[in-house]
Amino acid sequence: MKKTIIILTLGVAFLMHSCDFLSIEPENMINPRDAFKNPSSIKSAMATLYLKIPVEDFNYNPMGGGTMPPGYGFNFRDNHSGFSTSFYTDESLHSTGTYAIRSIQPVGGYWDYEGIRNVNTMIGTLPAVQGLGEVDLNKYLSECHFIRAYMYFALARRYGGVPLITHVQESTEDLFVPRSTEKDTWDFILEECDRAIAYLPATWGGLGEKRATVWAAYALKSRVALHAASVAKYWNRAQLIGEAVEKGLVGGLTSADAEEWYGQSIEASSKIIEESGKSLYRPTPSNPVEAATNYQRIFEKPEDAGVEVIFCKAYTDGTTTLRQGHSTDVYFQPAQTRTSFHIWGRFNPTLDLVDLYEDYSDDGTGSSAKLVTRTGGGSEDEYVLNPGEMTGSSFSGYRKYDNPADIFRDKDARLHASILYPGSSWKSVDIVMQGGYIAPDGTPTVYKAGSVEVGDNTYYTYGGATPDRYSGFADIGQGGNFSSTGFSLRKFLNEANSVEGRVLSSTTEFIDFRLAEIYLNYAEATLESSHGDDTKAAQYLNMIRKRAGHTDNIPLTLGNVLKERRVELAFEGHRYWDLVRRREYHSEFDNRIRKSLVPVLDLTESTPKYIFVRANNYYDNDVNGMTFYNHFYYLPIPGISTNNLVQNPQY
Amino acid sequence: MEKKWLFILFCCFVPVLLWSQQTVTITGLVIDEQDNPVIGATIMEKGTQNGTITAMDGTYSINVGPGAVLVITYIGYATQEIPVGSNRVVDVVLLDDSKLLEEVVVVGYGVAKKATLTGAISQISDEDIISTKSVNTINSVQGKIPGLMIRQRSGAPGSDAFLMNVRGYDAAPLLVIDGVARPNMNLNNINPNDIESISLLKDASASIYGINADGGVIIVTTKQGKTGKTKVDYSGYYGTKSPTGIPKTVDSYTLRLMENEMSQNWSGNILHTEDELQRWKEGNLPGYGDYNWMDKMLRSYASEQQHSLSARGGTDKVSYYLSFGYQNEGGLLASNIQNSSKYDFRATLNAELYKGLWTNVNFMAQHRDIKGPRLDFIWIYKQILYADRSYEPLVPGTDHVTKVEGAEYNPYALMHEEIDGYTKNKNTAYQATVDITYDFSYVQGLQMKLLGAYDYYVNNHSNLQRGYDSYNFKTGEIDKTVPAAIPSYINQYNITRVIDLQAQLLYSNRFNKVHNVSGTLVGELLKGDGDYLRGTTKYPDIFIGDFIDLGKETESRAYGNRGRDRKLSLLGRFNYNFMEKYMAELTFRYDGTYKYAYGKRWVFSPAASLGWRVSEENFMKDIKPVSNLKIRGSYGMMARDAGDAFQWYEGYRMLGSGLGYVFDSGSLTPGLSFPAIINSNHTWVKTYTGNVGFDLSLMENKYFAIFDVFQKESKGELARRASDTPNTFGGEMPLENLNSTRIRGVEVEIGHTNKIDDFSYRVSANMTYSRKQFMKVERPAYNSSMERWRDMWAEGRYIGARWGFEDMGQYTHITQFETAPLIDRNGRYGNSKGRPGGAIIKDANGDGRIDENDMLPMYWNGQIDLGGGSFAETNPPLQYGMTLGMQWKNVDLTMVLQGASLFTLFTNNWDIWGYARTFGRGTLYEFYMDRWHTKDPNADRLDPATEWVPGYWNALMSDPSGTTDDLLSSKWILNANYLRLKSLEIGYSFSPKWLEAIRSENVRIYFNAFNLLTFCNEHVRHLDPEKAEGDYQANLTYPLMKSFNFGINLSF
Repeated sequence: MKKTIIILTLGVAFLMHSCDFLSIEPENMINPRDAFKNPSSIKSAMATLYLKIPVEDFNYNPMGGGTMPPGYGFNFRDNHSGFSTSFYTDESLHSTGTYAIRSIQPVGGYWDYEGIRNVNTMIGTLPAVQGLGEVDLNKYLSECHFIRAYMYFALARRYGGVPLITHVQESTEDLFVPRSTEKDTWDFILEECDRAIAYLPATWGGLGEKRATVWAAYALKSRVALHAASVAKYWNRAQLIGEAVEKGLVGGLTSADAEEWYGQSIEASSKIIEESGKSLYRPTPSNPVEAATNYQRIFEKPEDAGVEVIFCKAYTDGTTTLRQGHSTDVYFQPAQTRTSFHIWGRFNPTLDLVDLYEDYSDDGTGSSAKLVTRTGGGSEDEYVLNPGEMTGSSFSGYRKYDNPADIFRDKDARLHASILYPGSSWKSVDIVMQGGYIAPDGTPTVYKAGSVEVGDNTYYTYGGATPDRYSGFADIGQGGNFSSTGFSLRKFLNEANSVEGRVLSSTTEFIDFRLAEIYLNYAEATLESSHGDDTKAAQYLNMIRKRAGHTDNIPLTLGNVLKERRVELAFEGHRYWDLVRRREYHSEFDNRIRKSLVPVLDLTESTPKYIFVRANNYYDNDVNGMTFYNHFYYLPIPGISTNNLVQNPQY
Repeated sequence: MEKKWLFILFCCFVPVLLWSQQTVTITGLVIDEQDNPVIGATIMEKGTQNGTITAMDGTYSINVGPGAVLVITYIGYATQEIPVGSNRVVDVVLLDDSKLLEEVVVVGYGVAKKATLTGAISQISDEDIISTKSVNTINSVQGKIPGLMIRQRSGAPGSDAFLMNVRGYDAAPLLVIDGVARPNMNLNNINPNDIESISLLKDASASIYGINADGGVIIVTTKQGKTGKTKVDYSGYYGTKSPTGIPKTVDSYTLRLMENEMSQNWSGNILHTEDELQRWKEGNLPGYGDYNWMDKMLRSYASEQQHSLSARGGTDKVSYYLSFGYQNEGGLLASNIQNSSKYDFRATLNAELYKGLWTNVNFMAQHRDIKGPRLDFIWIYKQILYADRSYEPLVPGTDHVTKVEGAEYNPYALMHEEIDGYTKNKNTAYQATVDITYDFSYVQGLQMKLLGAYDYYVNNHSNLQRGYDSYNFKTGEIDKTVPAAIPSYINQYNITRVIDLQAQLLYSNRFNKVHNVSGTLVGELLKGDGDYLRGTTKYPDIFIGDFIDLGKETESRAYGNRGRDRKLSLLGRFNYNFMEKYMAELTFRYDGTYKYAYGKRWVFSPAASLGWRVSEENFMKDIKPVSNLKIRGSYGMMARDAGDAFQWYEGYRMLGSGLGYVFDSGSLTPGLSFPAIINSNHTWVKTYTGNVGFDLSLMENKYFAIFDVFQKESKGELARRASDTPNTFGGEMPLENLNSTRIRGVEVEIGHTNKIDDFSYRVSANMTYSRKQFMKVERPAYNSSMERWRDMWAEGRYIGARWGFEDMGQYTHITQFETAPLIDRNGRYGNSKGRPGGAIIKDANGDGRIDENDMLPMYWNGQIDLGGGSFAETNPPLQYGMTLGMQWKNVDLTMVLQGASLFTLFTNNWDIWGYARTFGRGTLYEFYMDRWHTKDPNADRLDPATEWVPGYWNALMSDPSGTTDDLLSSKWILNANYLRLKSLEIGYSFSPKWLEAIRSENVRIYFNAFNLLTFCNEHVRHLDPEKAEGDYQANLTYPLMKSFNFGINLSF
């Protein structure tokens, strides 16, 4: 019996011990009490918040969103074939025609309240961190406000007024926060910018511009206020009706609001221009060739152009597990210099954009100079519907060039630095973009594979015998590795260093804010409002042109500023939002068919000549043009069946 | 020194001298129940080393001391002890051991008499298991245990891919080996020769195992030592196996004709010109030949073998069992790259250390080597399937790998280690169990047992990819569109350690000869931990060998992880029965886990069961045919520690996956993930299992029937709260204990055994039917009743409804499409692509259009909802098995039939078409020859006068979209009921005369076959209905195998 008692006692002891035995702490988590005891863990938490900033960089997929998780379209590193908001605009097309859709359904959702919750958590946690001095605390808090302003800006420009949630919601409280009005939302974002400006440092020391500085906060404010002011001013261009309008959840902005916000934008821009010490990168080139080199350099190596860069996003090689790279050099490389990856040549600038660039002979008028394709002043407004169906006789009246590059010779340096065109030199390769040939007997072969022997030479439809010898027009409508417009992207691509042919292998930094945009913001806001200084605005406009090798001054007009904006900031993600905020999308895209330039080799001459056919782009033509409807200016609010929010008009 | 030795020697001889002075001679005959003499039975004088064995005629003679007790033992028979008394002749009838085994059943933490069992427990013995031998232990069990539902998913060497569950329960059954839960071990890998018995706890009787026993419990008891002289057993077989179903494909010329036909059916265009066709017909030019990839890349047969050698014996005080097993299987790929071999070793020792203090030591070591191609079979088979038969694997006259059109990779390259690489798995397992049992002499029936187990498992996985160039078959030049991969290597270790400690108090006694009382009280501690380490590297510059440190430093990566497990339990069982007539059992468990928050860690799970042996009542005594009738019922709770640990803990983790932000050029600051919404209420999922059944035996146990009805309710299954958080909350709600399900079913087993002269036979059949119903499903409100109706996972629904279109036959004439309902083709309706042979689809809502609104819940599918939108295949709801055993003189025969019903196979139509639907994919299945086609290949398809030849399949089209042939109808969702002759074994045992000559106790040779015959719908035959599952995999996973083996059993 004694033994039994001993055993039972041992058994009870064994169970008593149990409480400790089961009480183990997780090994892979930091307790919130300890999480922010040292600056490096604050930096790590900040890294997460920065990763959630909706920067529309190389990894932004505007087709994301929808049923995808919140914020899915950002940092979209998964296997894709190259995305850009540029494809929705008149700047460029995707070579597969993916974005060429009948109506530009705005699918790019952003509803990252998870990110906002994280920022709120940080804002709530930081003041309680022991040992954090007031200076550091305020600095980190301002950083959080910058991030939160950025997030709400991304929401406001997509949805109008949204629920403003500024603290960490407990699951016990009333979670159903209604939408604020669009006006209150914009005001809140601008206040957030001010809270960010309050304590952010002018520099983070060695960190450069990848972490938010006070100048980044001003730049954000400049962009936000310009956007809000434009919506307020041009709302009437595309009026909407419905409950959301009645309640001011979208629209409901006055001309006074516009005036106020243009003023705030100008104020923020002035601060940067006058106090930040930033200047344009190499502002006075000696000739257009040098200008082109300089301009290309800004985007190829943004770290060298730090003098102009206000805020940018950096990458590390993502071919291994560190998936923090992008794929610009892989997907957007022209076919002739493609990497070993199976996708390339996807980014195709339009003829619409190419025509917009000035040449150097305009002498102060600042007007765009269309490419000259025809002889004797023939119309440059006529476009062939389908070059594949052209007959021999339809090739009359075209100007003939000895070299394909000749047609682009005197154009703006930024065209040469941003776009690969037929005959341009890229990585020591002559880029071949050819849509067909006219055989010596006058029979054309366009848009279909073929070859003809003339003397000792064999000529091919696309300019080469094998797919590694040309970059355009092959496989239109079937593949996607060749340009369908006759142009390919050069801006952002690394010419000096070849990049490994694997996705996420590019590490070229993405410039989110640079001084040129601030100059243009200032100029536009000055023209649109009673604020600002016209003289300074004209000066800023022409400084940008002079950096591009122009020597003349053009007058400060809205047309000049907006044209300059499209040219200077091409492909940087601005065009889409400029069309939205100025309410020009629906008028620009009303059965819009974007254009291609199809070089055709004329073999009827004794020496082969090039003629250039202005043509409807295959994909846009296929869908009978693209249309943007008024209600697309706002995206549908996601999840209204459970969040009880008022839906935007016409959804 | 010498004196000392002499003294010892003398002492040894003393007993011998004493014995020689006072002995009597006992003679006798040992026979079995069938009156056959038992040869080689051991007769021992109890407590001495004195013994003998029976002769050829079963007789024996032994000299023993007065008052001696004879101990008669023989393998397969119950040991008997007979006091000699004054007798000089002692004849013995040995009783079949298996009958005794049936009497005693292994239950949780102990054994119980079968007669007084109150739970739903089935048990099979070693003989039942090894009556059909297979390299897969699960194959040997399939169809034999009622309620254990098994579906084999792959025939790949070394594959453990079985879907196994009890009565359709979601959770996998808990595997208990020798009293210790060992979920890290797979039943399939236990050497079947080592198994003494397998016991299956199906109802609340499993609740004694509490934690994670809600999927039922499989208790495996391994062989122990046995008193008697050493007996050595050898068992081995060698055999071959071939696929149960592999489809044939058409030759390259026929394919081109078909492609033309498909193209003409679709658009009227011809794809290949007459000249081109002529080249394929002649087949002389490179790239126009016909190379049957299917035949050449797959072997017709693979070999398999298994050998097992064991020794067993002992005395009253010490006994042992030792065994060694070896097994090897080859694979189907022609390169012979697939191979699996397994070695196992087991040693068991029982010893009485002091009086009443026993110890049992059980040690098992196992090593498995599984080698295969770098990519899974499915990816290689897919290439084999759609490689263009016009090409050969190598450029003629070279060892250059061809770029094969149609396929993404050259299957020949993929299956050769020296070209593409390999995958290797080395699995090592050690299981050590030690227990000490003490009989308290001063309290009758009280025992204490301390048990400790330590298990150690190591998986070493390695994968090597080599790079190779592809060459153009026609020109012999390198094809640069297929760049050679950079050689890379992965090597990973996964180590798991588990400690289980148990302290048991066991009591059993009988009072006043009628009250039988027993009880068990156990305290148990479980501690597990695991380490995972993975290294990867690449060899961009030079590849010398598959070592991590030969790779490029900047390309080398390491990954690691750690897992822990801790559980504590206190459990008990109390049994009472009155004269073995009225039985009651109560069990309880009190379990704690480390996973949940304070206050949510412990769970109390009680269970109770009752039994009544009606046949023991006086009023039944007169009903002669009924030899046993027992009615029993049970109800109990079990708990499962579902969900991830530490959901209650608010903490920051690393974001992982290389996520972070680049604050400084070139260096990534890793991110911290913010705390998730915590869930302090996360706790055990509770299941409530009820079972009512009866056991009936008739005509002196010649006939028996067991019938059970069961229900299992699972409450608190994990789901995310969906309905009441807006998407502005910004946090994903945690998994909470919200959902519930119910499974109900019936289980029947009937059997008959008989013996007519030399012929004995037994036949038994079992069937299990169970279905699961959703009782509570957390989800947002439905927008409409239509949406609710269409939700397959809605509350109240039974699992397994699959929506599809109702097929009502085939159109036979083109003009029928003038009045046929219009097909939806991306919002445009029309029948312009309809052709004779096309499926007539029921326009369920009668709107004149065929679109998704016409889908009906009309098929069965085998899916379970894993939550979060992911689903897994499950067993068909109705399964049955039948075992037939016969013995006639020296010949024995065992057959196991197994089948399943109420399920369908969904073969994605792209899969079933054989990928030829996209041109350039070079195969079409031969069975499509039986199809609708025009008599004149070039006839106008739309002309009503065109003559069509009918067939089973519709007219093939190069693009099926916009036709009824593209819809999910019974053309693609096939009824997959099947019944198969799972195994068949015929044996011959040599007669004693022969055995004497070779000094052997038993020699049996046998032949067996697996998956010999299958009865099923002819259109699923080539898929193998047992295996096939899942979209996109339907026909591509490793085929099941038909195997033929020849083997021998020897005992000495």
